Amino acid sequence: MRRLVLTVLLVLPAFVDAAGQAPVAVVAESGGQLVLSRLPAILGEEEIEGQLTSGLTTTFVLRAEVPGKKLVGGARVDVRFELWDEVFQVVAVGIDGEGEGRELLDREALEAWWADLSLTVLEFEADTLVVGETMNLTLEVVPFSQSEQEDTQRWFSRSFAASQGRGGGRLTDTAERRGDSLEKVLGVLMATSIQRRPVSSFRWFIVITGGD
Amino acid sequence: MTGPLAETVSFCIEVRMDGELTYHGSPNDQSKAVMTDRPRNGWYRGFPAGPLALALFVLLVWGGAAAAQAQESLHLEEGRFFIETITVENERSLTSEIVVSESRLMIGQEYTESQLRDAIHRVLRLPLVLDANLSLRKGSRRGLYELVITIRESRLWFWGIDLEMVAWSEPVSVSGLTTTDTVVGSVGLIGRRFPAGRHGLFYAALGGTDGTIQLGYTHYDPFGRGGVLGLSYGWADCAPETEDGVSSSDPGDSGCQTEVLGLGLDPTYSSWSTLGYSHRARLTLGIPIEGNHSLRLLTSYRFTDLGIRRQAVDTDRRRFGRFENREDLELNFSWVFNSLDDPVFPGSGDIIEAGLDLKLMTADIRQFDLTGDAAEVVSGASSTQVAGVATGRHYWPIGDKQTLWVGGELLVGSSRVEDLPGPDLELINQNSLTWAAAASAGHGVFLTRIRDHGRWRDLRWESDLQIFSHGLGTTPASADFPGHGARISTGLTYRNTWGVMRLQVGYIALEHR
Repeated sequence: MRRLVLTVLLVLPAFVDAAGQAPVAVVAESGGQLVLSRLPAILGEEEIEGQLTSGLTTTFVLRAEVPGKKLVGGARVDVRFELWDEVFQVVAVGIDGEGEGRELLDREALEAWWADLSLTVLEFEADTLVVGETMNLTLEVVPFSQSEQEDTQRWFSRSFAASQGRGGGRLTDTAERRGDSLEKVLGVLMATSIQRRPVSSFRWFIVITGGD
Repeated sequence: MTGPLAETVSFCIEVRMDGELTYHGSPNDQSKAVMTDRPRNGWYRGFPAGPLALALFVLLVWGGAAAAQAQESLHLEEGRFFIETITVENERSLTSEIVVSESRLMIGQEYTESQLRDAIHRVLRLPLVLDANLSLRKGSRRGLYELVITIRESRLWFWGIDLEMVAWSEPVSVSGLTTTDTVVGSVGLIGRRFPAGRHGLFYAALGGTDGTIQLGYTHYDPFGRGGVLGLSYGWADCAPETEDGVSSSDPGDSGCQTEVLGLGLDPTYSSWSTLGYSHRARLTLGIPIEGNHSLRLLTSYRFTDLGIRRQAVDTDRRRFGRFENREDLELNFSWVFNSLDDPVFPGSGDIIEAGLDLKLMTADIRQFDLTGDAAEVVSGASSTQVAGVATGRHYWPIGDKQTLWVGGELLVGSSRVEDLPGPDLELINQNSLTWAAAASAGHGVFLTRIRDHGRWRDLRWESDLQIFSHGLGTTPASADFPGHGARISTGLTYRNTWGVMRLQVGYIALEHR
């Protein structure tokens, strides 16, 4: 019976994500981190294609959540096509604060880089998350720029000050335990989804696998 | 703000100065048939609605707050673009001059991405613009850019339908001498816009709040510095009066308007129902300051030849007044900040208005009290109110389907009432401090959003909760009026390339002092 359930869960993403391959979520060998890879090839979709070639910044916001475990995290990818240099400026950053910024020479390089991306989307205490559990993953494509982000953060600063006066919140407490990097990245993630309505959204239910 | 009843019984559609459709009492007071983003169809699985959305919102705020102190993270450098030229593509009825004027962008200036996106939202708020996107192209030399604004226009013909059923906690008077605790109203209009020259737009419509016929003209960029100047005229004719002086019409009938004036203008908390005809002329002047900031001057004059006035929450049919030759003059000067991404279905941004409001009202009133000796009093009444008014609403998107909003309104001012008959035939003469306040919160979720080629339609389920309170600095002439109240409503709003339809049910609870 357990094997049947596991099989169903493994097959489920294929039905949920009928338009493309679901990403893969793997518990890092060192434990305590969930790494996302094999992002689906969505950059060629009409809505996203138009954003990517507009010359303005497009942000891909990944939000991960494990139901029942109160684990929330994510990652962010920024892409902007520099018209005069004809290169793609890209930045990717995970929940651990680790990331990379690159300049990619053409569209093929961008798609290859996207396909090879590995991003840490969750950090957790040992044994909190086990292989076989499912995770909700949302990917939102947001027209977003750094200046808007800063505006959002200023707005949040005021909100945060107000909530501190009321004793703060659960996520805040969690973030304090996990350190500054989580605060930074998670805040940016949340800020992006609040500030701007995405042009496209994707959602998957992913079965967590173990490292090789 | 003219009192809670005015907010709730005037559930009518009107065509504004520039041909926009405006829905009173809806959460989308900047209504117009446009849309800004284009979420994908198909295999997206939406977020659960209702309480879960609210819980998620709380998590988002707290989670985001935790990172608010973080100012350093990996990110792309701020994009800044020197705009050499602006090109408008796909325009048919609208001219590129109107689009560029409303964007408030200037050639030869440098803009950030945020400023460019704000500009496209301003374009989206234009009548006739369904969708707008921006992109950049290389300019004539390195570092210069051509900004391309691609628009999709709505139809020149437009329609609007507003159906609402509101249950009240107690019987109210919303039409002549009719008293009911459930009000069903319907308003419809149909009209057409007519492009006029490089900067102008005429419109004509039948139906709506202002009456059976509405005509208007909007001139964009009237002084060469952006902005908008609008003029409109509406003529309304209500259903004929019956022999006993009671209108047989419903408040939703075109031309038959019922409103409850603010306590500053009428401290008896009365409903005023038109029974004859009325004219209304309006003038609007919008002057851009910077970005999403602007100044706005609104003036309105209305003449109503005949109507019925009675206490809105008094079920006694034997005490009422007939008014004739009523004149209303309104003057409002406000600062406006508008960063909404969509005027009909806002998903993000703020709309904030603050300014001074002047209202004058005069009417010849014959007040009856048929409970005893069938006495009556005749008076030429007048009211004046000067107030500071501030309103605001903030929208948060949750994913591409859901939106939460919170808002508030505040009015504080002074008023002068002269020779206004009360329900007991006394003449009210008083100077008062008047105030009103309201707070609201709501949630919207798209049930349908279609953006295929040739098809364009939205269906959003919207729910809203509002609490309100008002009062006078002095003892009101009638102490029996609801000082507080709450309204909860839910309904569907549908939009396509032709117009907007709204179906809503609500409940209003009134609390007396």
